[in-house]
Amino acid sequence: MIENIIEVENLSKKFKENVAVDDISFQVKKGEIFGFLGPNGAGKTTTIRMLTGQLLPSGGAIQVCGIDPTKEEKKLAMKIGVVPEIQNLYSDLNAEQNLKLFADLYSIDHKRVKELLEMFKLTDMKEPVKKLSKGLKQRVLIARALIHNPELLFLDEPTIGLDPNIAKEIRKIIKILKEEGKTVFLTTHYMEEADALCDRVAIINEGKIIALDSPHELRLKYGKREFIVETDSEIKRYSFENIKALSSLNPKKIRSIHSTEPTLEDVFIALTGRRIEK
Amino acid sequence: MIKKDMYFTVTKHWIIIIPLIIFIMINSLHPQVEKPTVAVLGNFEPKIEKKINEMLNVEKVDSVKEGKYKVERSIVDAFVLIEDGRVTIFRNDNSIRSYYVKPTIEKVLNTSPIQIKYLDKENVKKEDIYFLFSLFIFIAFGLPALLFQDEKDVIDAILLSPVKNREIVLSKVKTTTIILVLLNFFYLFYVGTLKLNLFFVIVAIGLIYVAIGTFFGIFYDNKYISFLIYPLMLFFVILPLLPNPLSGWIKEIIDLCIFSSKIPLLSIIKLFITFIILLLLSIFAFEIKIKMRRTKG
Repeated sequence: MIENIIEVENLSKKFKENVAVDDISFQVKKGEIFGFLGPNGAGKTTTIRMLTGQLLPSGGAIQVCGIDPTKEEKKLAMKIGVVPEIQNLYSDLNAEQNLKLFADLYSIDHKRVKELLEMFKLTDMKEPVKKLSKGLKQRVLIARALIHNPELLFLDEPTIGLDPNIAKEIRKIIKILKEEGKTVFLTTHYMEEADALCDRVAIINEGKIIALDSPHELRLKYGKREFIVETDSEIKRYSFENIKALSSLNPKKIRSIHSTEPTLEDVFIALTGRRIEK
Repeated sequence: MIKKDMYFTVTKHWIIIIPLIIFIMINSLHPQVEKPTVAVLGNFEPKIEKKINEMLNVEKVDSVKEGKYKVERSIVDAFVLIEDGRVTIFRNDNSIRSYYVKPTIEKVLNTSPIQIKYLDKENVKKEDIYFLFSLFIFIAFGLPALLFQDEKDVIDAILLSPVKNREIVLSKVKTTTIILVLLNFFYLFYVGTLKLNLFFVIVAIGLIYVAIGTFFGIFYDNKYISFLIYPLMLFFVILPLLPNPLSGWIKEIIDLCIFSSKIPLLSIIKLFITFIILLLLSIFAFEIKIKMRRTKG
């Protein structure tokens, strides 16, 4: 039986007149990478803040690891790790000092700090965090979130503003965490990131979940699948439904035929009628 | 939590502590208080008179009027009237030296010579004690604000840890108290007046300053505000509300501690209860701040 590690029912959050999260419901299964995909201001960070107990919802019910974060946020603390979008480290301290300090807050042995420094290749980084690159800081943040070995990890836009190579490295780390059995709740507005990492994706727009499934299923459901046929004179697109039309072509004139897979970007456009701004 | 705050105090905020230590050392080089001058009407027993003369500059007067006149005009520090075996002392309120007249005469009349010697050598200077309070106010108001300010960027991460909200506040109080106690000890030791009763009273009053400093630190966790607005707030708003060592019952406790070795337990308890109330108020304020943060985002 697959257990739900997060259960959300009719969750909403209003800031005065502005509805940031509008009556959303979803479940996250233990051990999966669950993606929250949407443009800036869609309500992704607000949702994470409510799930982690940092923000009180205006309505609805939440259970994270069987705990209600609105009431027992300190009890939840030992079970979750959070990597925020804004890099909030002690900038005057180095990576090791930052981790040791948080190890003390969680009453964790400093041996774990050593392990994490090695795991994230931070052992030689002796300079203060403020002098580290954004990518290295992100590694320190992830290491800090793992200091108490939580079962559930929240990552809020973990690769935003990172150069592609570092982003790739961070994605690799996220995959390793999944292999270790951790559940990852990830928010992103990068389609390819959600596509590459997530077992299931919820697409959120203007505070509402407009679709929720595996990336593959979403593409099948909402994406337009086509054949692109290149002949001597033209390049033509044929939808899968119109496959019979291919038979009318003269095979001698065909240079190439290939099928196109829709991306999550296409799914988003199909659902909202607009592109995700980057 | 306290480990972190102590670490930041020692590595980052030493800049507000070290100058104070240097200041203490310079201040303690002040010359010792001179022997008080007293006008005396009447006669002590010859044996006692000899001892009094060792401790005080004595000049004889012919009438009560003359003695009081000399006190009022600050010609002498006190006027001592000996009548039917009773000793009455009229002290000059403007003279710090006059504080030593009463205990000196009391000691000479009632106790052994060793205690007289002790008093003679280790004059407690009241200015020293008041100076110490001004240092306390500076640290008690500055340090908690700086420690809260250190956490400004990482407070979300700290709140996500199992550390309770009250522990965040308490660690600032504990850290500042440790620094104050160490400074108090160092100061009293350095100026040579390490008296246990005085030590406890100063710590108890210092704790009240710490609690008030922590309360304001919760709201003004900005280093510029703490350095610019605090002194203004301190002198015009907060200071008149604080237990002022220069007046009222606090002054009486300090006087008592200077001139005797009694520990004013009741007063210390009163001060401690005030501290606890202020501390609970600070914790409550912090909880409200966090609650508002969780509601409004």
